[in-house]
Amino acid sequence: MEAVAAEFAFMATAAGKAFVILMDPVRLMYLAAGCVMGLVLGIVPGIGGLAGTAMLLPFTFNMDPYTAFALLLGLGSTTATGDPIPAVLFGVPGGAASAATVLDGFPMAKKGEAGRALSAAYMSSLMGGVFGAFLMAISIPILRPVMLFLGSPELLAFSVLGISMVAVLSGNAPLRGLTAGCIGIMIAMIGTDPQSGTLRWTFNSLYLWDGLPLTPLLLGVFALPELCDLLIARTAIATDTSMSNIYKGQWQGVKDCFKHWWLILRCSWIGGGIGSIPGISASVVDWLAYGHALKTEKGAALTFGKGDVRGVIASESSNNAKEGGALVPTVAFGVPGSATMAILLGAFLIHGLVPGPDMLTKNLDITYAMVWSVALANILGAGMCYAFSPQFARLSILRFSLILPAVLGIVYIGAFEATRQWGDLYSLLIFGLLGWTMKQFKWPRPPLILGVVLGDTIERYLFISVERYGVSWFARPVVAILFIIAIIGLVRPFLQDIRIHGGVRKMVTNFQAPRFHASQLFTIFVITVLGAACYMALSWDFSAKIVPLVIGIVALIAAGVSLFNDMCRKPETGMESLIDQTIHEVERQIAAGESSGGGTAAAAADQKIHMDLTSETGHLPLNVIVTRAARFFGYLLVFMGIMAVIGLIPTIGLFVVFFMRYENSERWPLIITYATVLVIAVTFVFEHIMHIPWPPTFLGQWFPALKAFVPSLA
Amino acid sequence: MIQIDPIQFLMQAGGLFVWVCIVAVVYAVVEKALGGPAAQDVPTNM
Repeated sequence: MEAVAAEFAFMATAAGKAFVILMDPVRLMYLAAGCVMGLVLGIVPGIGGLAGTAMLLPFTFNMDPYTAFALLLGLGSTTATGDPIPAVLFGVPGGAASAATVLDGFPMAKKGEAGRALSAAYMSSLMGGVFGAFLMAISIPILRPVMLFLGSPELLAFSVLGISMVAVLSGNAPLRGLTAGCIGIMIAMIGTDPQSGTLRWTFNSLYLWDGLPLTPLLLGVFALPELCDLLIARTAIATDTSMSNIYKGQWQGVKDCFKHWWLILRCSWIGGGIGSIPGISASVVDWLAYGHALKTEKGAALTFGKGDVRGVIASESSNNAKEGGALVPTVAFGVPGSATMAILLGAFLIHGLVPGPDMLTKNLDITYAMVWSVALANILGAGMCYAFSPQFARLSILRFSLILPAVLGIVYIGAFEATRQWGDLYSLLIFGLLGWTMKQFKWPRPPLILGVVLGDTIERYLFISVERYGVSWFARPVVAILFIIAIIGLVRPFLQDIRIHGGVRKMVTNFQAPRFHASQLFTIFVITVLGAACYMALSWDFSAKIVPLVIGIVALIAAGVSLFNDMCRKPETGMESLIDQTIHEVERQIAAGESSGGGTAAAAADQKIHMDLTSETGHLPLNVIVTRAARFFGYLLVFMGIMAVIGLIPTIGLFVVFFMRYENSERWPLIITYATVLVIAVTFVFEHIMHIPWPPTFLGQWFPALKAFVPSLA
Repeated sequence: MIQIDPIQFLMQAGGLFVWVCIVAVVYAVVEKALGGPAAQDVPTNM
């Protein structure tokens, strides 16, 4: 009893200390800044919280962990709060997490109840988000005693479990996911091997000796492809929706939330619970909660999909609760289930924190600071939405020509923050191209990042375990159980695949003559690179080559089988990812409600269009996609070239003018105002407040006197 | 601690405004010489 009281007192002290630390005005300011960025990125089309977190990460290098996580979690927690605005007003979800909100939010707006729908969305987001933080807070005392018994072998097993999540993260492309995960681990092994000092895949470049920095890779894989697709799709939301009724019915929306508190609690539980299971992505949570509400709420089958506030409440409360839930396995076991959490795990490593027992003992106050950050961010985010709905709504109709130049400038600055060498920018470009190609050919990108983040940890724990326990570490019960779960996790998608194809016999006979298409070229390219990497590894020391070779061979086999399947397997129907299954289940239920309630077929068709989560560029012809993508990467190259001569900030000014006029024929007064405000803001924030050391430029070397007058000239 | 040299900042801001104007004028002249704004594809509405 005394031990429990002492444990409780210890945790209460840590929670109290964390709260006091977070209440520091500067930290609160960063938290609020994170919230504003989260809301903006949730609303602005095409960027999203994932790219946003990647973009913010480099700017946290000089902050203490409390401030860094306040900023990052402020952003991560509020992207789902802002995205119902475009979903309700224009029928276009701001992000994947609010796709289900469209179903009832948009019809409510059509009925003149936009204010009520938005208010209900904000309040349920707030309640869901706080519930998620609460879930994390109560998980800590439960997990703490367990965590104290874990050693290196168990942590290794958890990391392997994390990697096995690639199979789940990959949806219906497990082989490609596995290949991407293995490539990620191999990327993590670039640089000097800590055991033998062997230089692994450094290509005689000093830049790669310390390993490839995470930031340019993250920005390349997650931010550049979204920007490229923005240029390709040239998206613009055409709307004549009046924004004057946004405030009308707000109080009713709040009352709705309190009236349906039990639904909010259930859906928050779904969000938090599902969020804490690694591998189930954000995009499925709202559908599952919506499906749950549809099944359990009275009369839902007749009213859902036609403007029922309960539909909005269900999806919005769940998608905000998932953040707190997803933090639990990330912090406690170092197993990030989603790509955002993988980036956050990168933030842990950058700030010298090791996820696992330390986070629940030595660094418990940082963990509690995260809980407070999530809770406060949700409250702040909802408050800002209530206050500035019309202003935020205008953001969602921004044109690509206004979004892209500003974001691209920040991406360049962020990438350069990694090691402050030109190599960072080359990495950004190379991984941008890789990330976009992966996105186009439907190769899952999250496993790649998971591999990069966990790769180092796995190799380190493996060597510690072998040194300390010999081979007996493998027989420790927790390790054995975790390995079995990891193997099941990896094998399950393949077993499902076999079942869908009607058993092994049918599967191995279901082949045709090889067929070729363009996407196979990418797989062949991947196999060639992997083969070359394995061949290079053959000449290294045994301890340096064993892990990379094993991983490389697994990747080669997975990529080879994937290519063989692509070429020789007869096309199948009926392969559905979890998200497709959930959406189809909701579709079926709504259709059933429609038929029993006498709804029209036209209405059902309308709902189907909104529910389809298709690629934003999929509707365009291939030559248009290729031409625009080439133009985008051409811009990046020219941008870098000019930047090497005149510095980054003058290049941003030049780029904005050219891009806005050439790509979208914007008016000159707007171009000049936008470009001037942007370059001055970048100068103020990055040169005068953050004192970023800029990359050396030719002009700076030729005329050193100019450095005092031209910002970013080094 | 945030330390800003207001004179330097104002000089830089003024310089950047002039730079943007120069770029815009050069672009506009070239554009006119080539016969009007580039005709890009119509934005794709969602």
